[in-house]
Amino acid sequence: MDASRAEEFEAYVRARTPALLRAAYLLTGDQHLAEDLVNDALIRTHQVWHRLWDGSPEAYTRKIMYHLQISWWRRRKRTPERLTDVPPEPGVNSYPVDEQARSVTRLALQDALSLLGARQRAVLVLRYFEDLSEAEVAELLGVTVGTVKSQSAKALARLRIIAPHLLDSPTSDRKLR
Amino acid sequence: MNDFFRAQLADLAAQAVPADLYPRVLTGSRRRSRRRTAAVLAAAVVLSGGFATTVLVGRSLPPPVTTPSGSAGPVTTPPTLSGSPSAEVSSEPVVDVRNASYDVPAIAVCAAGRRTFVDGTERDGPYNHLTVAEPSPPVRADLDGVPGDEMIVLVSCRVEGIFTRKQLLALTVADGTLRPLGLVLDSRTFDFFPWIDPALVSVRGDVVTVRIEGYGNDDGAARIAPEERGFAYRDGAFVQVSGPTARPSPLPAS
Repeated sequence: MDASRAEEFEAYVRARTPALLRAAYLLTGDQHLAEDLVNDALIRTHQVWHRLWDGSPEAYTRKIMYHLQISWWRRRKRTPERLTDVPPEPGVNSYPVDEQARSVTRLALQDALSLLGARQRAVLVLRYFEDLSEAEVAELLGVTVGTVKSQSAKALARLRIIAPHLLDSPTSDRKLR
Repeated sequence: MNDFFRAQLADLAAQAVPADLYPRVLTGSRRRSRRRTAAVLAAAVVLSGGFATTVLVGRSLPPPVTTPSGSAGPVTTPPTLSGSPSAEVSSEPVVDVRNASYDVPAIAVCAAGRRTFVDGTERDGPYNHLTVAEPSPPVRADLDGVPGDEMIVLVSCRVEGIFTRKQLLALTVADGTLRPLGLVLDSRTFDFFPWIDPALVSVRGDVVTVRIEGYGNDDGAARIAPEERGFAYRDGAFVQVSGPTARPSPLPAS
């Protein structure tokens, strides 16, 4: 890799790592696993940088990251440790208004996501965090749009059972579907 | 769309602590490149002896599992080495399927053809490449009724560098040359991408028994109640002869 491409890669890594880490954190629920995931995806990106750098390297990195996460999950064949079977209930006022309530909600969401399969979690993160369309999610994960729809529906249904307060704001009657 | 859930996801994602991964990425990438270079060099050394099919002698391998059969040849017991391989060469050759060239049938998106493996990975392989490993302990038995034992190896087609589709391949060994006898898993079993644990492959008589504990498909992966399926070589191909034949149902998610 020549100097200019090396500089491009360094700039790319430094610019995009924070965003990649945020998505990876949602996928893994753990800071260290998130760093490992992004690190591995970036290593693979570096290996093919010579044919990516003038294209869309971030799309490639994200694709690798999401696929790696599913692959790791299969290999580990386990879910992260959970301290309780039931996520914490929200307070009397369901909408979190202070930091303590927000922390409880974050923990509940983290726990609820950990109960989903890797692909379901990936679909939710891509749809509702990355704001991708169903077609874009399908392309990125290498599955059909139908699979994305079914995985998304299953994941949301599961979340509604596990922690219904996480999906629907009491201040809104618009439901996720 | 309800923004409440999005806001909570964003709030959770914001818990990720920023980190400078650039030095780590560079180190990891260089290590990966070095490993690749070392594998190519090793291949050059191995193949410089002029063997298209590499029969390595004196490699320390665990003793193979053999099953008694009337037509089977003598049990091959690899030598145990403590010093350098070149210093102590056994007179009994041991075929190392991880460092050899042989034909492999088509597996998933990995096309059929002659493949050269170096340390278990295809040398200069295509993007969707094959890896090969022996069950531990190695499985050897007479599977086709022809004098001489066959060996079972686990072949994985690595798809897009991420997913793997695993098959079991039976190989015959004649004069140090490896030839494929056939893929062990029938299409119905292979089609649901069973998880194959190399430690749970065995041979009883001439039946290769595989324990399956899960599978993967386009909807993700699923664990199943463990099941054993047996496959035997009949009329030129492996067919399932024991165990359930239907696609297994996934266990309820925890």
